[in-house]
Amino acid sequence: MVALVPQQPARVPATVRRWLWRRDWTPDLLLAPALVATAAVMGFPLVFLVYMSLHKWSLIGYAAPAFVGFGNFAALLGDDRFIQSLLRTLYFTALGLATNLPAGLGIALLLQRDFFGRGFLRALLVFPMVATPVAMGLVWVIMLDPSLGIIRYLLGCVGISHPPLWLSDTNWVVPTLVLVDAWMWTPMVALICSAGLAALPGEPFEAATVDGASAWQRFRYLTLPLLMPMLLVAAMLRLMDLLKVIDIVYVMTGGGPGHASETINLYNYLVALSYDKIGYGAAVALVLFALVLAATLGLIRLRRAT
Amino acid sequence: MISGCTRRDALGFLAAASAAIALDRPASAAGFDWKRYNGTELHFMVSVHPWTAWAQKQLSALAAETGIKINWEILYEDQLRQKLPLLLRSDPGAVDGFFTLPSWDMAAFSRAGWYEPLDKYIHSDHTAPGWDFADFFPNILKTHQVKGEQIGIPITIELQTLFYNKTILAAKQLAVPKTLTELMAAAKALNDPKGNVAGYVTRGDGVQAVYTLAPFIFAYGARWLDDKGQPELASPGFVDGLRYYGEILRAAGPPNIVGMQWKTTYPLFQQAHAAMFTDATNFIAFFKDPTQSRIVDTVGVAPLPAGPAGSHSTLISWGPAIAASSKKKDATWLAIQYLTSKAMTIAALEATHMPPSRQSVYNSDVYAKSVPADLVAATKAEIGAAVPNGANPVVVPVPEVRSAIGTAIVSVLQGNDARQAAETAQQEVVKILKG
Repeated sequence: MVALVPQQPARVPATVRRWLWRRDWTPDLLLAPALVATAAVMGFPLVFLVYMSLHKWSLIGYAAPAFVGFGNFAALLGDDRFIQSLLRTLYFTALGLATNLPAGLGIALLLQRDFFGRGFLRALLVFPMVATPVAMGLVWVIMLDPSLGIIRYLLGCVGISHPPLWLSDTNWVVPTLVLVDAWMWTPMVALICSAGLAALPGEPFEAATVDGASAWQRFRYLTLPLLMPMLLVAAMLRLMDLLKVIDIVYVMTGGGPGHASETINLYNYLVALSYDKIGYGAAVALVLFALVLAATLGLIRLRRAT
Repeated sequence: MISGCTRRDALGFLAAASAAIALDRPASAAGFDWKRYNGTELHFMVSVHPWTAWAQKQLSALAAETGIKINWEILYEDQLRQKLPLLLRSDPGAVDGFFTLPSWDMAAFSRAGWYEPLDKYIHSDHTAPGWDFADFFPNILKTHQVKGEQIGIPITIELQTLFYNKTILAAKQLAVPKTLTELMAAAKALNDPKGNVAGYVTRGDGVQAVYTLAPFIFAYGARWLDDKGQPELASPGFVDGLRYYGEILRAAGPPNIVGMQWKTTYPLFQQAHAAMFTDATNFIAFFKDPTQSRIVDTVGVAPLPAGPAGSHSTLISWGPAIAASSKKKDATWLAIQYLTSKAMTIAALEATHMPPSRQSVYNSDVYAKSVPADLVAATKAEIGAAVPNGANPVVVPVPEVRSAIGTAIVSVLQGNDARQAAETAQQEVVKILKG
């Protein structure tokens, strides 16, 4: 027989009690509603996404979702279309960053100079950003058409009579979409860089000029390193957008010809909402989420290092 | 497609609406009580379509005649296909009626049990004596039947025809092709890359082109599915049809044919940059619109050229259906009857110019006057042999299956072997259907 001995409540160490008592909890209490709201808005969808990804889930009929564990993720490994869309998205992102950042920086450097019409040019730069991607995508489809489009005519005027079949050639379709994306979003990079350039201190540049540094040396050893934090911010924003790109691809090619321009986000949309594989689509979405998160965290770490 | 509303349209519409009221009232006089569900409120979910836009304008008249108030929710087709299943599954009773395209929805919706069978309403005193079910084309009624049971009421006829530019054909002294052999020869003869004119154009985007490929495989005697519902994509007829599709478009299509969607194919023909074009009959509205077309007076319409197995267009039709989960099915049927009566079909034709599904209206002067005579002749020639719901295999995963067949189409447009492409598509579709 076991003797019933009253349990002594665990004693909180005196130092901890003092710390708890003396700590000012006001900031935490003030932050709490925002934190709860953020957790509800951001956290719940993510948790539900994970839940969906572990089920075989169809909207057709009344059958309850069936738990499949990590079956959807295992199936992704054997899904050639998924793997190809993932690789294509990385290619799209790399090409996008390689065009957006240098071009945006170049435009910002040009706009730094004082010239007639600079203000107008800056206003003009904003136009592609504020235009609706879907409408602009359709405009580009018509402009790039080899029979009706103006691009062929303009290239013909400068002696290029047989331009590529921009959206019909499997080798050209992704670079063409990247160019349209760059037309829309390079101005944003340029504006971020312009803000960064405007905030750079003047003294180092004056000292370098006195020391006989060339324009290239001033750019290479002063402008670029000083601007790097802003460039990384621009890179981070573009990286997230490029990894998630869907709008212009959906409108301009629908992922075609065949699947030659299908990005992971477009594949995700088709699988979940068109093919009625909600659970499998959730698994694709989680992979995309992990990809965007990892890339963003990598850039944040790089920014801290600089 | 909605064409611009002219004064003539408006007058015609008024006349037809008056006729509608005049025709419907005798039914009431004969004892049919149109007010039996007075005060009922219904929720319809429909897609953007000329008929749904027209029907929305009739809701106040419907409310006055029947006392039924309808919340008419119009969504783009893609959005409807996402939102409707969600509501039907999660909130039974939230939707009373919806717009359905059986070639796309039927397999999935009938498996889910979302269609209310209509025969018990049609052949009962729930139906007004003058509504006349027998007036609908039998072949079109089949598009809305599951195992012989009616699940929706088809409102229009959507066939495919051959559109041609009379001026371009006349310049080469070519007759309108009647067979696929003649079509190939004419397309090649008319193709003029230097003059920026394609001999022939139709869809080259894989998923979309399944629709325009269909008549070619039917012309070679193939079909999408066998009697057991299994894919039949590697049959000799399918391979021949697929090969022909690739050959004619590679030989006489525009240079960027691979990936061309309907939104880029029809402007080519409309702007006289293509001599011939096959697609849905609805495109006539774009070609006859003087504000955007260069071929208003030169566009001609003919039946699809025949292959070894004849000429077989696809035949699809949107229409209203009753949700099986609705708690107001009788009132929903009354509303559908009102909108699909003979008189209202005439009014809809006047407003939309879309071929009607009722024989009496189709054969009337109203239809003959609302569309070009050659279009009337072409559709009359095609309708008997057209394949109901032939736009794609009628299976549950239509989008995924269309994607797999689309890959085969793109493959032949890129110059690859048709047999290989068809066999790959067959294997892929078998895999998809196994789930």
